[in-house]
Amino acid sequence: MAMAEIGAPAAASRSGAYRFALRWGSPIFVLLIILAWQAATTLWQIPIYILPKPTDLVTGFVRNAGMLSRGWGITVLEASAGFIIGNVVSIAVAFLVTWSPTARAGIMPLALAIKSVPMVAITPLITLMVGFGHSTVVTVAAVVCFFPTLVNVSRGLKAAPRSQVELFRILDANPWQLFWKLRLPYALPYLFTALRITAPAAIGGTMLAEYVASNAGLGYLIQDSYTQFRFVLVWQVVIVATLTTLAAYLTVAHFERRLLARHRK
Amino acid sequence: MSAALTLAPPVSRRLKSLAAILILLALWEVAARLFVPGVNPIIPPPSVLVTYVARHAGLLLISVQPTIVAAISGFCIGASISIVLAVIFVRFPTVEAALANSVVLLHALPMLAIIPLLVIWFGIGYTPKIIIAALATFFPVLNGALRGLRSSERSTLELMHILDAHWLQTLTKVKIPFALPYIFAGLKIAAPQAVLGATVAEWIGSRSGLGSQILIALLNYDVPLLWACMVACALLAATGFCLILLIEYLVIGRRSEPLREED
Amino acid sequence: MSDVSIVLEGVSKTFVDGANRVHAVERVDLAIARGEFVALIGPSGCGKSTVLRMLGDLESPSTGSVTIDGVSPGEIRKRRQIGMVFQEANLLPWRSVYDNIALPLEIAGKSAVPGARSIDDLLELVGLKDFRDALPWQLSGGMRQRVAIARALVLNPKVLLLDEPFGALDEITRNRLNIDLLKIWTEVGITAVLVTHSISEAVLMSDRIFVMSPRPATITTTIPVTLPRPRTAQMQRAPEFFDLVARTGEALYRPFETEAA
Repeated sequence: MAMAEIGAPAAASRSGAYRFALRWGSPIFVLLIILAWQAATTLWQIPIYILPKPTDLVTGFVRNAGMLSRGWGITVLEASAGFIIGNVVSIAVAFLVTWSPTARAGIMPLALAIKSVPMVAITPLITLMVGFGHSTVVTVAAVVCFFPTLVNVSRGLKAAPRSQVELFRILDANPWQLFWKLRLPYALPYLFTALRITAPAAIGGTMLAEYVASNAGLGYLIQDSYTQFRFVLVWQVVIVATLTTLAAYLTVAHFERRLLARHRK
Repeated sequence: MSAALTLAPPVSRRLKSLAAILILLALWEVAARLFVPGVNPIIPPPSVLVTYVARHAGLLLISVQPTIVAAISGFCIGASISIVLAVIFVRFPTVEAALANSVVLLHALPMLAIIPLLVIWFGIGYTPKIIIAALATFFPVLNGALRGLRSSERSTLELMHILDAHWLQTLTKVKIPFALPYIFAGLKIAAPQAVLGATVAEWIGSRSGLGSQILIALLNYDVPLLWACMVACALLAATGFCLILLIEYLVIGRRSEPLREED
Repeated sequence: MSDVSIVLEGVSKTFVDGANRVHAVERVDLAIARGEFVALIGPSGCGKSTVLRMLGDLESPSTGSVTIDGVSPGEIRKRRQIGMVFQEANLLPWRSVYDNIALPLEIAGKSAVPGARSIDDLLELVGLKDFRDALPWQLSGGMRQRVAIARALVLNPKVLLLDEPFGALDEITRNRLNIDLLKIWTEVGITAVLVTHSISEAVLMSDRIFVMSPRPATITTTIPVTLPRPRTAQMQRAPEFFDLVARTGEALYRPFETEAA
């Protein structure tokens, strides 16, 4: 979900209309959609199971608040655990792979092979191996995070330009100095690229795993509400999950902006 | 640097990787036979899997086919829409400014969660799968196309201005050709995503295809079938990727050595 | 001869970037004769390129007027009578040498350009006959600039704008290309405006040198170059050449020296 390009047009047209559109375009657009949605569902009396009215969703929120917040809490916990475990392990492996060519030759092909297997196929296998429940969900979220971080961080650890590494060698810097003062600053943008991808992906992976291998969380709630024909609840889960994913992305992007402010001109 | 010099290391590296994979497969075979015995082990040795796949090739082919159809249709639809949208965004920055955040919001929609809604609207069948595959394709390609359409050198665009080129001429003769490597980068990310999207959609929105076969295998505790489905899924994703790679090579392969050296 | 081609009268240019206003060009007046070769020289970032870009209709003046053959640069551009060579060759990497030179013809629509030159003649002129089908990455930097020059000339323009065209090349290559460019210019008979920050290049190439001050750029001195034509590489070792280089250098460095004093 590297959406860096969207909303970042060339410095060309910064007219008043452009700035207005950038500031107010999305709120107006979303508002218009909600209004049109409400109007259409009311006007044509669309049955609630096909498309509930926005007002139905809001009033229903109060009724389903307990169920939704419990599911949300579990999903966020599982996703966070998976996110942390996956990224920490992945960063450790990235270091190993960067420093040992043997480890690189052994691990990277395997990692790339596993990476090309879609999560839908891996999740049931993990379910068989780890068993039904939270640990499977956390494992899936961790596996989802593992590969993007491994690929990006191992690339980032080699991102320092050769001329600057040579400068450090001429200055007789020790390996720690080389790492803290040169390699790490160059690797940070890569790490954040990975985190921006993995934070929303962890939530997606968690829900996917909850759908097949758990009886709690938003993913389970989707399955449960759908099979029980509680369509308003399905919609509410969609909204909660979307906002949570968005919040995860924006949080990482926020930290990235603050920590890497110096990297940009 | 000559072509021979730049080509030499990757070939030997690829050979090493191949050797590593073969060694891993051998280790897996031995370890599985030694440590995970039983009639229906969770981790079967590769040889068992190969014989299983050979025996059940018919069933697998039948389940793979709908997934392929849905993934390819969704991929083509999603890629076309996102390229057209990228062109509109680049041509009219104000439109992009107005819609950018809404597009990101759309991207945050969890695929899994909208499948039930699609099934309610369109019923069990191909439509939900194709829409999900298209959605999965949409964002990587949009991102690549936007980046690519903005990658033209400024002085080249100024040259087009001096020549009083129509914006369509600038688009077709400069911007799109410059964007192609970026678009293909997006398509390469999107191809496996489309397979993934179609397969997930089959969990809920279909009674055919690889996705529903995976669920059946899980429910029946049919471990070899599950493994076979996983391998099939991975192969599909990899095939999609390689196909795009091939098309990319055919379309822009001759552009330059220096450009293709990285990656 | 001396009918006037390019006229700038009281031209100023101010860039506005948020609250900042940058005066790039201040009250520039100049007149360039048809078929003349002039150089604009000044310290880097002084705004000399801005003047050239106004001639190419890439910028518009904040005040004052720019005319080429009595009409605005925009009008001349729409008639496709401007040829421009940039610092980077900016050839399209997927097009052969021939197809790159043909680009302006394609844009204009072949039937619409009666005065267009034959691409094969141009290839001969810039000495790339044998590289007709080569791709840009197969050429050296100097050869790429030759292609860019051929591309600028293919529509038979009235003015040739050169924005530090050989600035990225090494001095030896640059010198050879300059001599070749002069030959081409003599053969084509076109008004040429060269932006450069190399004094010897300005002296070697032009009939007149306009020396510009640091930002905001304005013309401080005009130096007529009295060297005979055709110019040769040997002339660069003549006393008159050094004399002109010294005078140009003096005019160029004067603002900095008074500042220091």
